[in-house]
Amino acid sequence: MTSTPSAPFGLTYSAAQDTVRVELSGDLDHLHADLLLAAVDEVLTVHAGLGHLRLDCAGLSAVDSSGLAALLMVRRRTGGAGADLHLDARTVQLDRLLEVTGTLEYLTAPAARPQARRRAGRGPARGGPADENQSAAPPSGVAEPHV
Amino acid sequence: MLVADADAVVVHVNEAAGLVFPDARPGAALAGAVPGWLVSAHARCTVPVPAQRPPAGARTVQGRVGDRSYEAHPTPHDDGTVAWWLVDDTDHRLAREALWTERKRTEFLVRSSNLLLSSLNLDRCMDVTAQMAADHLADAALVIAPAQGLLLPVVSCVRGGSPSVSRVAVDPGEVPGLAEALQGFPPVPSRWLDPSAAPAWLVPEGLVALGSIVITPLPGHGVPAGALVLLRNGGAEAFTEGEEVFARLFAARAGAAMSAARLYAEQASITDTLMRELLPPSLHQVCGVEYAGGYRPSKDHERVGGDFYDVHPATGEGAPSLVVLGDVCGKGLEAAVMTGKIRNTLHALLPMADDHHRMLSLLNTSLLNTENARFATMVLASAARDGNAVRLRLTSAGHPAPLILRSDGRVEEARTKGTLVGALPEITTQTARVTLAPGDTCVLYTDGISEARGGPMGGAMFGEERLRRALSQCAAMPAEAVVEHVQMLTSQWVGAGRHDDMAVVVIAAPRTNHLSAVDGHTRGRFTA
Repeated sequence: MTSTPSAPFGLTYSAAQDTVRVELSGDLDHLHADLLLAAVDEVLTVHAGLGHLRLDCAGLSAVDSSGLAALLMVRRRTGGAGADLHLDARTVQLDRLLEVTGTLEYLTAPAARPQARRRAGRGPARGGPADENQSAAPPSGVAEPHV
Repeated sequence: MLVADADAVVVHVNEAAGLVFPDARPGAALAGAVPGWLVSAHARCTVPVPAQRPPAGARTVQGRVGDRSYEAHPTPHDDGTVAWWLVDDTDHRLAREALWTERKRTEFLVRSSNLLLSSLNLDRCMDVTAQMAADHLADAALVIAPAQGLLLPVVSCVRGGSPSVSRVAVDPGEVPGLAEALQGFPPVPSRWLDPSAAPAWLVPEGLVALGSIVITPLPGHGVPAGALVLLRNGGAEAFTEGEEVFARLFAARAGAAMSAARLYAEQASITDTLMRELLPPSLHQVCGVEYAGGYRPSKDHERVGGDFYDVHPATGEGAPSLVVLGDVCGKGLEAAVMTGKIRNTLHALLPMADDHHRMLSLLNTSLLNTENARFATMVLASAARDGNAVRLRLTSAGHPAPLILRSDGRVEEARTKGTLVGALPEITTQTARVTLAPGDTCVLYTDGISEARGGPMGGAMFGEERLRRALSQCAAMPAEAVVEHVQMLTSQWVGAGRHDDMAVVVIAAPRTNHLSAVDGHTRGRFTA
């Protein structure tokens, strides 16, 4: 939701053992969201059986709603591939966005036991791991007569 | 070469000149043997002009011999005879003329392109096409657009006149070649039409006697753009092959411009339809609770924005009304479609509005899909009058929490939070219950307001702090005034800069002494 021209978005990879680290820089907005998703898809294809995908967010200058949608898609893909997603070095703004939208917990929750899931024969094509972050909603009236 | 003496009698003719002028033999009079232009040039050449060499008349002349043209270069001799050197320049002249014509045509095409492409208005494109074709290609021209229902839109123009628009209820099939040209595909060549076969509507008034007619399709970008009909008077020359090719070049430009204009018009009409459907409602007082809303769409080229709000009035006395304010991820058509879906779904789920979490969960499920993680954030607010106060249930789904403005100027954030809808398999929410005393207001807003960029340095965010301070200035203002104040401040903040959609809704508990001004739905016992 930036109104200023977006800064160029950049990606840098490094891979070690079962971890791939991607450094993000610039604006993650509607102009660049697809780039991130395409890059993650490629990482997941090249590194089959990946354990951890770490996105280093220190260089991110702005993340808009499309950028958040892209992060949510990334979480679906890593979850489908049985890899954990880590959002490292989050900026204050990113933290605030994830906090307000209630997505932080979901994005960084571990991908539920990939081995177990594979043995159980569950395909990786599910929209997202449904068996986690099951924080049942509090009863709709958390009574607060006056805020 | 031909030599003649001062008395205009041929003296000598070489073999080549003999072939051109078969009657020119030595001793014959020049006048009877060569064309007039050469005779008079010879006469000018042989006028004795003393003390002036070369004589003024001794210049190269040009003229036609039969269907060819020649240049004649004179060489005067001292004995009074003049030798004429003849050079055939027919091809040279033809090439020059062709070049000139091509230049004219190119100039015309450039001009027509400029005129046509500067407009995305279909009617204007048709007018320009008809007028330019009538002025430069024929004596009259018709531009026929593909039928709209049973009517055929036709723009006709005679040379020098102005285009006239009409819609005729005719069958294009009665003009040979027209139906095919209007279909646009497969491409058909331009077609000659027998003038006697032309129906009366095809011949514009002001054309005396119909000579020839050509129908050329206007090729568009995959959509049929229409047909161009060129007509010439009976006296005028028929269309040459070159002119026909040229007409097709013109038609290609006109067709491209017209189909671009048509596509644009279609898109604009789709956007307008969506906009009408998506425009926020005008708010007012419902069941003793005051509502006001303001919406400033982003001025970016995609006109349909992602912010929306709705007020669903209570079904019965004392029951709560439901206010929804939300922000759909992204922009443009996809965001617009999702906005429509959300508003419809929530409307259908109104019977369970007393359970915000359930409502949002069902909405979440209906929006989930595997292709993308397009989501929406929103706030639900159920408001019901209770005595002089208004009881609110507020639930944020991934949205900035509503701000509560007390009548003494204090600003509090409603303690509600939850996950956005449409992307996660499960959502969590936390509902806040707030009571508004008379004069208190609750402000729902989208992040277009809090994240508006501008200010004195241009790039600063308006921010929640500034919004809270702005609101504290609005204590005890009526709901509409609060909306206007927030809108004014944020508009000032962004200035002429780009901004996202900005939506704000205010729910207010009317001040008791204002209650005499409320609508007839309010029960009398509130007007204490």
